[in-house]
Amino acid sequence: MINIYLPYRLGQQIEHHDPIAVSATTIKTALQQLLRQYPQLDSSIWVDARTQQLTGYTQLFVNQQQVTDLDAQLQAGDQLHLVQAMAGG
Amino acid sequence: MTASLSTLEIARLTRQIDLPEIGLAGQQQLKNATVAISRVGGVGGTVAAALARAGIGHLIIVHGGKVDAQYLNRWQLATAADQDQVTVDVFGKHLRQINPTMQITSYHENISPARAPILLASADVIVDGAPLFEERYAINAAAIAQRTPLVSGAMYGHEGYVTTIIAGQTPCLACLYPHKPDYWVDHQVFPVLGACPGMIGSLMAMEVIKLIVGFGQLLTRRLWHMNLLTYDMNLLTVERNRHCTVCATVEEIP
Repeated sequence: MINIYLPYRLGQQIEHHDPIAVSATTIKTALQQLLRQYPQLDSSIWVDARTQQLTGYTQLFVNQQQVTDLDAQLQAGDQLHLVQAMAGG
Repeated sequence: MTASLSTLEIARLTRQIDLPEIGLAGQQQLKNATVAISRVGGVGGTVAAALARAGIGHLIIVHGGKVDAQYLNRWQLATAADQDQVTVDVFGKHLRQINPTMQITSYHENISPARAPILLASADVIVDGAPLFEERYAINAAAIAQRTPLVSGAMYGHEGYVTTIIAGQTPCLACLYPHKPDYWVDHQVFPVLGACPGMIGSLMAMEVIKLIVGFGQLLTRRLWHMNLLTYDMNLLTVERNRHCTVCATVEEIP
């Protein structure tokens, strides 16, 4: 299983702040699994759900390393962090 | 201009001068340094207070408006008695109480693309604690253009991050986040409990001191990220975007 860590704001939206476990072999399929469970997050992650292009304020990290290729392979036990732009001070 | 540390300053700072990473030479570097802080609220005010205590020689503070009641849950440099007063006057008053020998230059305005290169020009290090992306992108562009290190920290709710941006060495803000979130329409969109920006600001102050004195590991090419609700803490590696509209043309510095 892959553990997905969401930004606090997205956790608020789905009332769930713990990591979300999904079964996936790539980042894209992990995000698709996430959005199947929580479709209300769709517009916060994709610019356009059809093209599946990430919003320009979202960064992805697998095991703490930045990843930009959504087709990058995942291994069981990997941690996928979504970190979105913030400006709060 | 170099001013020597006075006997009174050495007495006040002796416990940090005891640190081998600082010592008298490092303390003198801090006294000789100029740090510009854009927005001096929950994050930036924490940085300013910590740097004043640490003996920074010159702070440039940039912040418009007046002190409003809703800011008092997190602003280190304002109290209930300061409501409706001009922000930078209040910050200056409290900063001088912490460190009476520190030079303070105040600009009672919020930063803009036109003014950022002027207001930040003389800084050795820039600190970004602005609550609007428009200001953050303006600060980022100025820091890259003038090749000044930028310590950037931000938060939302119980989450936050800090990174250090150096032109040619690290990703800039526009590399990491080329677009701002649609929902971030004003400075009131983020819920906040004072401890969170306090923690972000404290870490940023440490980063500024390390940059100036030159010790320890920096948050260059790394994004320190935390969620205080879950205590999930991460040191994330970040990379330059070769298509970045702000820094792609800056030559890579190994």
